[in-house]
Amino acid sequence: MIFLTRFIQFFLVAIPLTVMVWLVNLWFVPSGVFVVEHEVGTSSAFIEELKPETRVTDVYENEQDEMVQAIKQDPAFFFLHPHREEFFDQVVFDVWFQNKALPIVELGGLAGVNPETYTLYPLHNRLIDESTWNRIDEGGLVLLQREETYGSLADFFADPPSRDEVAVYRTSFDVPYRIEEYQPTTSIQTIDASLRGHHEFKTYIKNETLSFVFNYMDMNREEGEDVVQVIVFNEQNQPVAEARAGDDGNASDDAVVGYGLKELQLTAYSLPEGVYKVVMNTTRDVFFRTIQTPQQKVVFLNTLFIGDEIGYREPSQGTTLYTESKRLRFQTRHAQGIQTITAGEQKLDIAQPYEWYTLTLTSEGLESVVLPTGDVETVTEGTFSFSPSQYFNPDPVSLNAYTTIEQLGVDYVLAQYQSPRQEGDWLVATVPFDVADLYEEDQTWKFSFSTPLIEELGAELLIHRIDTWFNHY
Amino acid sequence: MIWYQKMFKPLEAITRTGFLVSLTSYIVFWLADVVQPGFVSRYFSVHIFLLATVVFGILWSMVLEEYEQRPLIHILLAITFGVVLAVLTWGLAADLGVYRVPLVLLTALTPMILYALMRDSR
Repeated sequence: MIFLTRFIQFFLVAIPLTVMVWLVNLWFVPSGVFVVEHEVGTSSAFIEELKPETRVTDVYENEQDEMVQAIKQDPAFFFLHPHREEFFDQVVFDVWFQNKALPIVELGGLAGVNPETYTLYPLHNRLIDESTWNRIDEGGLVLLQREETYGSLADFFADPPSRDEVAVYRTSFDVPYRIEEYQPTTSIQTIDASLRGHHEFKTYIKNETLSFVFNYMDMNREEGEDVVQVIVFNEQNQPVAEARAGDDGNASDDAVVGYGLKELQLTAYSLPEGVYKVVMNTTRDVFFRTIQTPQQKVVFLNTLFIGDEIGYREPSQGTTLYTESKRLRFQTRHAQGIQTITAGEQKLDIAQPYEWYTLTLTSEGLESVVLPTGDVETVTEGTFSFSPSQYFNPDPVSLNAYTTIEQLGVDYVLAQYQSPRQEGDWLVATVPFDVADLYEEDQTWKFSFSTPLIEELGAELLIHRIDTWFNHY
Repeated sequence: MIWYQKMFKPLEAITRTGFLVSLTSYIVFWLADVVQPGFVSRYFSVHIFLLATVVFGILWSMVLEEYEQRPLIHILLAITFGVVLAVLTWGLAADLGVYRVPLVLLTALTPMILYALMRDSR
């Protein structure tokens, strides 16, 4: 009896000790890999359900008794709560999904805020997977060829075709862009448009000094310091020049503009010929009113936020953009930003604030887009300029959801893409994110599904599981 | 003086062990979760140990036939709880300004006061 009693007492003591060892093991992750398996509809301390509720359906059971949730609008997102976010180096998702109609589905990790930027990785590219072109898969890269010319990717990179013949998807094509007939000038061009906050543009340099003069106002509408930093990157993505201006000393949100127009000069001498990217890194309180430069080619990338001109000049003069992109999205955040945008014969009403409006351009080539009053954010997968002569397209044509491969007029598609594997009725895509690229707040990372055309096509993306591997190297 | 050998009572020994282990575990796991939020609560509720403490406590009281007073242990426990409560109250009452110190003192003394009241009521 005594032995049995002692055994039970030992057992009672051993239970919490075992639990503590288990918890310590989970915390320190001695194997370096921590796995969270998650089926939609089940609660988890690590991964939240898909949100917002207006863009996803309720979780339901399909005919195979599997839990499913459908994304019906773009974008839907979820939050991930790692228990030791500073410990892990990489997060890898296995996303179980079904996609019958969407051309491209991607998963993005929030990389920065103000503005929100995402690092996107492909889940499913049906344009590539369903292409009848010759396909080579090597080391995470895919090469599609209209006619079979290259036997391997090594052959392709050893003797690449011209840039005009290649479209890219989530990768770069390292044949440098050059304008043979380009001649530098000393005449100064002025971009007379109010650009609010962070922007990026590309310019072309050949036997000339890179020079930009930014005239800006710190409008002090939001709390916090408003530092302006402009960095120049070369074709190898290395920083080669920088200009910086501190805050005006007013970190409050009192909307007092103490110093009017301030000036920031960016100059870089003796740069070799090539395309340079300039990142205007600042807060939404900073409005760049004019940019003066002798550079002839300047195109802004992907996003333009044409700010209001309250306190600068009234009425607001708006602006005219030039782009070859065929799909543009617009949003204003203020009632004063309601306007009618004109592009050739087409008109688009921005009828209410905080609503995204899409303009699909039908003409070929460069097209002008008139924003009569400004105060509007413009997003596209492409570039903008503020005059036709400034426009150039330094990047290879990009494969996106709004075109087909045939429409691109190329003979090759180079993509960083791995087709999802089949698991029963489900496709499973493996998507890795470097933790260094993720924006963390309150021990939380945000991930968003990018499902372009989901509303236009009346399509849905079915999600069954999102399994996560947290890796420490 | 007549000496009696203590009788071994298996049920009492088991329930006493269960009670003390559950109570200690509850305190340790709860404190671990306070120090490192989510350390325990990501996987299960720490209050499972509180439930076990209550269950074993009731069972122990049902099988307990003789109760041996250990006043020194009681006082040590009361002081320990007083210190723990004082630390917790100090952390939680940061916004209370001038009331913070008297509140901390009151919570620190509460276990000793309760112990004194329980001893006097017998």
